Amino acid sequence: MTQPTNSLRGRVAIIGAGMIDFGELFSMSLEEMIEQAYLNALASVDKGLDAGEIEAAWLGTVYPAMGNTGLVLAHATGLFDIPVTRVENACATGSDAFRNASMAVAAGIYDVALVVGAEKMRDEPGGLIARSALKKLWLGRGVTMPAYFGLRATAYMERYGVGREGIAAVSVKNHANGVKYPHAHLRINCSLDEVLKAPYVSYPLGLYDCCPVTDGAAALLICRAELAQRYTDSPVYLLGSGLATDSFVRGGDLTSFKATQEAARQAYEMAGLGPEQINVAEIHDCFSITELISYEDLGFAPAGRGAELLEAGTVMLEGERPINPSGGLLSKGHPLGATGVAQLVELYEQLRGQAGAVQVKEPQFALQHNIGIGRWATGSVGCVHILGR
Amino acid sequence: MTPEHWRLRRANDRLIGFKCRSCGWVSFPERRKTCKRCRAAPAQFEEIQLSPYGKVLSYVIQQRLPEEFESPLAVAVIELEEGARLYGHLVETSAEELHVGLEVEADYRVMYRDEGLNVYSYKFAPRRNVAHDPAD
Ligand SMILES: [Zn+2]
Repeated sequence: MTQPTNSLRGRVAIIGAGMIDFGELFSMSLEEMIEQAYLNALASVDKGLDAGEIEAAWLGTVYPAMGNTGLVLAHATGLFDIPVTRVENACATGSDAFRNASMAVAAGIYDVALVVGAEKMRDEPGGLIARSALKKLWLGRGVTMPAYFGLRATAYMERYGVGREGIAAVSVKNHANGVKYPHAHLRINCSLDEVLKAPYVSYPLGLYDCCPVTDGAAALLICRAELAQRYTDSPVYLLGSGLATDSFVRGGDLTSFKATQEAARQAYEMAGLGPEQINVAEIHDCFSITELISYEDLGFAPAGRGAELLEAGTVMLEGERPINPSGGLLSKGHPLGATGVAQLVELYEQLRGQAGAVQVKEPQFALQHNIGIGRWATGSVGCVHILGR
Repeated sequence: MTPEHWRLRRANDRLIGFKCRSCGWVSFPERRKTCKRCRAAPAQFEEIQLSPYGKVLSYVIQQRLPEEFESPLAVAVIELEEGARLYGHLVETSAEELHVGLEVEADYRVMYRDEGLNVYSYKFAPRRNVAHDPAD
């Protein structure tokens, strides 16, 4: 198989994946969360992998732990002496850690590498909303995370004539999936009526339109594709990867995310695939509206018509192209650095037929996606990965 | 300690923007040496006085905020006539009146107090078709 030299397609295999149950983990430190996710990933390798074989590690985390370094990973795992690099890139932090590790492995620098994403969110009692500060005039004047996405929701609703119920259907679907997913933080069903009648956090978004504040960690073991059979008979291959940035001050409409569109274009082109070939996806649903807009940015629906995928059942667990079978961020939670890695862990299990109660029917290609807030606006960082058996 | 608002006080106090001579993109509040739209590097920017008039591109009504804020608080993405985009608190309006496309105008109000001093900044009110009395 010949490859263009600038492509990651087929060069990297995932051979192990593990995570901890997400939740309010007051009893666990960041180090303990990383340690357990790492042990779970090691234990998942079909033919076994010795810690001594890991040649380099990447840690995705947003809040500094032991300063802005990857040291916490070395302390948690005992993987000293080897290179450990910390990556931070808004909500795509974990995904970008995976992307960087993959590039090093694809380049042949390392045979086997570890990727960990982790975040301790619940130790800050006020959550991210407390970070909004009136005194920071230029930091969005106290615009909170729900408001950044609420601003997108208002624009979307008014432009396309979609009501709150069209957006709320995302939340109903993802909570139903989360009930079946063992690692989800919120394992509760909610009806359309409950989503619509919940108190507003930031109109037009109510409580059930927002993901919870969650602690979590997830880990992946990757290797050069040629070596994959050493560790498993059913590896999962990285086929495409894309990363892009944008800013709302550049212009453009508020009803799509250009960074997602661009990252998706890069990833589809690298994989030689289009959206119609994707069988299952874990996409960014920090808020219900985010998932709806992302259907369109990723090419699953035309602009303004994302809600039709919910009405037709296409994206339901039993549908033609299930989206967020894990319950997404809305149920699973969104521990920033862990989020992207956990999505990849879930898709690894999906492609290997090990996803249990949320298993999708024999998927061949899977897509993972994040969109992040940065520099006082959402839509600032987009990241997309495509995996295949 | 230099308060953060000091560095950008001119832009804030007088709505000064900077227009890229290559593509016409308007930078507000910052002006740096590169253009965020056409990638001109270095870019030539000319200083322009932004108009206080603009329209609401989108809005939210925030309910859950830290104590220092009055809530509920309506916040909008405003596009000024020259194309600059900014966040602005909305005043003198109601949830019923708010919509995408609403014409607004900037007015200077106390935003917060810092070490006993009032810090003023722009907020936006719906543009009323009332002539301003110059004696105001
Ligand atoms: Zn320019």
